[in-house]
Amino acid sequence: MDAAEPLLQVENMEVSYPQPRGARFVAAREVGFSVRAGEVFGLVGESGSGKSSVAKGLMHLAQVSGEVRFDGIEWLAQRGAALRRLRPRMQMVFQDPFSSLDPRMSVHAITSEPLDIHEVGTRAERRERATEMLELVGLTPAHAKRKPSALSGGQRQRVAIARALALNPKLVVLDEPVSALDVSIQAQVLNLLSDLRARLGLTYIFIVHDLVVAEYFCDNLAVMFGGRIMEMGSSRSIFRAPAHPYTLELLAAVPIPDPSQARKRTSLPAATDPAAESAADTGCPYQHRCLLRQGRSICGEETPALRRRGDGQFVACHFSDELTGRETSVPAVRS
Amino acid sequence: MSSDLVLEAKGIETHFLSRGEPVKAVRGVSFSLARGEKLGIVGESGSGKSALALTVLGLLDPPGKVVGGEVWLHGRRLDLADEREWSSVRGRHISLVYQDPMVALDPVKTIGWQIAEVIRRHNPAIGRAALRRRVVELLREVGVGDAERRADSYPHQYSGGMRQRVVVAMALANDPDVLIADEPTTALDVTTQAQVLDLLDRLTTDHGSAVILITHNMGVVAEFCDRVLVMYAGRIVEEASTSELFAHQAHPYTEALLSAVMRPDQLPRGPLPTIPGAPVALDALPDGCAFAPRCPVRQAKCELEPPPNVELGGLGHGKAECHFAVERTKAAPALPR
Amino acid sequence: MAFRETARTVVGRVISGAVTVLLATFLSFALLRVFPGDPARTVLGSLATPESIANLRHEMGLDRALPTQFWIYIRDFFTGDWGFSYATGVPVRTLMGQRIMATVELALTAFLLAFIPALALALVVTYRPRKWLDASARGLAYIAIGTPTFWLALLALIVGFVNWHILPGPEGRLSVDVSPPPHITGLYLFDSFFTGHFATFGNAAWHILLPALVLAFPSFGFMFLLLRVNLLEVRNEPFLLVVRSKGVSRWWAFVRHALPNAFLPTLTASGLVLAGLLTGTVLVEAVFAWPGAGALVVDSVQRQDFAVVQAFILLAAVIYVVINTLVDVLYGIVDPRVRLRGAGAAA
Repeated sequence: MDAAEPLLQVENMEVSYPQPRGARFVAAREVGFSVRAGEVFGLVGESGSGKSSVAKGLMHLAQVSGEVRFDGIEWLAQRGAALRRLRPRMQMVFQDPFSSLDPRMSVHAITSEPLDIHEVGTRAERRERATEMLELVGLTPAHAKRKPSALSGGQRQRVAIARALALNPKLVVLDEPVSALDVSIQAQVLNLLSDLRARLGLTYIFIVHDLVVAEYFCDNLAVMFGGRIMEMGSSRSIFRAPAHPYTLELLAAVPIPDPSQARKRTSLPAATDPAAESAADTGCPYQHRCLLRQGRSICGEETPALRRRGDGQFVACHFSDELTGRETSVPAVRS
Repeated sequence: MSSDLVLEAKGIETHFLSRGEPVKAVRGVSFSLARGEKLGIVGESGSGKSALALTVLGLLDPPGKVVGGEVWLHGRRLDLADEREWSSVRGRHISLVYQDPMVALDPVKTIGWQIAEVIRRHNPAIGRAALRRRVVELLREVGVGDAERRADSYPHQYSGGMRQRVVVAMALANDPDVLIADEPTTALDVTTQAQVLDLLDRLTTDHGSAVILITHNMGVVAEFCDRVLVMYAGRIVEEASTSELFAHQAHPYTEALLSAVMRPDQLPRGPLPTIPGAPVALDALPDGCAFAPRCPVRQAKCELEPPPNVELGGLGHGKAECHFAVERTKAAPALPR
Repeated sequence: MAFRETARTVVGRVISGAVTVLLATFLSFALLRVFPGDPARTVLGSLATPESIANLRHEMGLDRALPTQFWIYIRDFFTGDWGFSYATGVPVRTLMGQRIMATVELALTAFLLAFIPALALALVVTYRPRKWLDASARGLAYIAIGTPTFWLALLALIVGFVNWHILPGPEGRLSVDVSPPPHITGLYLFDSFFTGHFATFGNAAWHILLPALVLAFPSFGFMFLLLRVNLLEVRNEPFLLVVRSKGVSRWWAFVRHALPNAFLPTLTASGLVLAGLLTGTVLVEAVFAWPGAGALVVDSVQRQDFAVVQAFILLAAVIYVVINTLVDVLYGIVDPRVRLRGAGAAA
């Protein structure tokens, strides 16, 4: 794999879940992006946006179609034993530190399990590696003996990270790794993740619904809504000049911890019914909430394609041009 | 601010009994709430904020036990009340908005029935037609579209955001004096969060209810609350108006907490400031200040003596529980007033 | 939309139920044919000549291939012909008909005597949990599950009848000198009560008490444990906290919210219990000389009267399948989450 090729290249990915009577629920469609080695790529969106489904699709945990090239391999074409041999290269940290760890296993056992499954080295070597991993995330041998229920949320998430790193992956998919944690612990875990990335040369796909965390932590990101990518590009430019009305809505919704800047929000639409939204399969998935639409029919008829703009950003909106030049309500400049 | 106090808590002590040492979740908390005021209680897990909420609602069940303190609601002493008196007060004068809307509703009863329940409980004489009208009215008020039909739906047919609106409707149905919202938006998306907060803000003002908003999100505090209490290890370590608190933090924990919060308009570069260590174990509290082991500015004194509750009103601030509260406040830049 | 779905489910269940019944019947059919003993000989007696036996065998179709015999049997059964009892020559259907209501009455009474105390005890134990109370109740339940029914029946008879003389002996549904009430349903308790024969009612009740209690005991233990677990689980759900925050009293919250939610998982188990009671009265009927289908089957087995035994097995299979299907359908109606596939929250 030559240096210029991205570590992960996704094209036209579709993730779906089987439903009763042969139906399929498509959670994400026409998803495409690329991730360079050492980068942090973020997937931002609310629940139902499809971001977690994209992660599951990449990990072969859901029904997935499309073209995915990972580490020089046709990723989606892999099956069975071949897939199993390749899995160590892409590992995942799940969202809920409380339910993603087996409550009956000791922390040490949890961390060494991936090594056991892939039969890496001798038993002694595996034990040592597990201990090494736990130390790397800041846990002591005393912690290693305990069961998850004896640890705090932050500590459990560290265990999940240690487990994900045990097999020396190239890419780690992190599904909302800090959402369930207290603010001060969030900071600790994010710092740890940054540190590990630098030290071990990792690449991250970072799934998050908190836009501010995404801006801080990610180099590039994709904003998803209703199973599609609405906007994509470097996190700096997305926040400085959002090109999609949904991004604007997300930005406007973030509460600022500064009473002098606390703005009285412009009235947002009333409680929207997700059922009505998903029923409309034609057109832009955001059409029902979009402040930019203003009754125009094309939004309901034609799904906007993800187009590349002059400045390198991608947007899927018929009227994105009406936004550029418009001031964002948050001066999102990194100081 | 009206001097009419709606709620007063004095020296609340709530413990959770276990086989070993009791877990002291709330250790001597006192505060007051004025009519229509929006009070924020900020704290992380282990701070005791949820235990405090349950105490004030009288909903603490074994192994939890209120071992001390007084709760006064509109001049009526409640901590000594029996279950019957408490249940006549709950839902009528003081109510709860629970944090997780996905589990806050009975799955086998319609939404309309559950809203009607709180109305009927405190208005037993109400007729069926009037009850129905009131239910639909409330649903409309909280922004649930097609209210007439949706009143007959079940919780699993509603989205998370809509369920939270229903919870708000139930809490406000009888125009309570106090509404306690325990992390009402934590389980919601950021866009829904904003909507629900706006709703709470508007409706509590309309209904004239005071609010105690428990949260760990400082952004929410900044937008919603008039006054803030910061809790750590079962005590209130700082108390100030919102603008005072954000301008200057007298207590090192508050300062550390704020600096760990990311502002979209002032993103840090490089590693985030953190509070070292982990929240203190409530069944093995150290002598002296509970925050001392993690405090960046601790001195020998802090580990030996528990800090006093220092009144900082004269300096344009509220109160803080730190040996160095006064020095820290004096050293702060001039507060905007 | 929902109706079509339900209909499809029901049809699916009926089909799988039918397959179950057929399989059970076939198995028993084959097994019975494998046993030593010739039904024809049983009917004709030990002095019969080989020719008459062979003739009868041919008449009974016993010389044909097994699958053919089976097919004929099934076909006949569902047109009402359940064969003839080898021992008595009476049509099986008539025999069963005479006996079945006695069994039904016994089983239904036992169900009530198991369910109601189980529910009451579960409510008491979970409303205000106290360690000693909980432990004793559970201990009692475990004993109830583990006690062998026939042993308990005999013990009950000995103590209740022989020693204390307060309960009737093994004389069946009524005292010898009491005549049955006018026939409406065949359930003596029901018939006597609704025709005003209260003395008969009293006598019937006195007679059914002990066998029903004995039969109910293990089911009581089982249902109590199940209800207890479900109630405890629901008690800790957050929505109950919200209910109480509305000012609803503890008791009301428990009965109106916790109980219905705990009931749902118990519903399907109840079906199993009822089916088990209906088909499991055999030993109790034998001990108490209760003139039900169970006692008939015991006799028939001893007399190698296959026709009766076969019919009973088929009936038992049908009962299980019907009750379970009904319970599942009921569950689908009663639980709104199943009944109405709603919009729900986004994934």
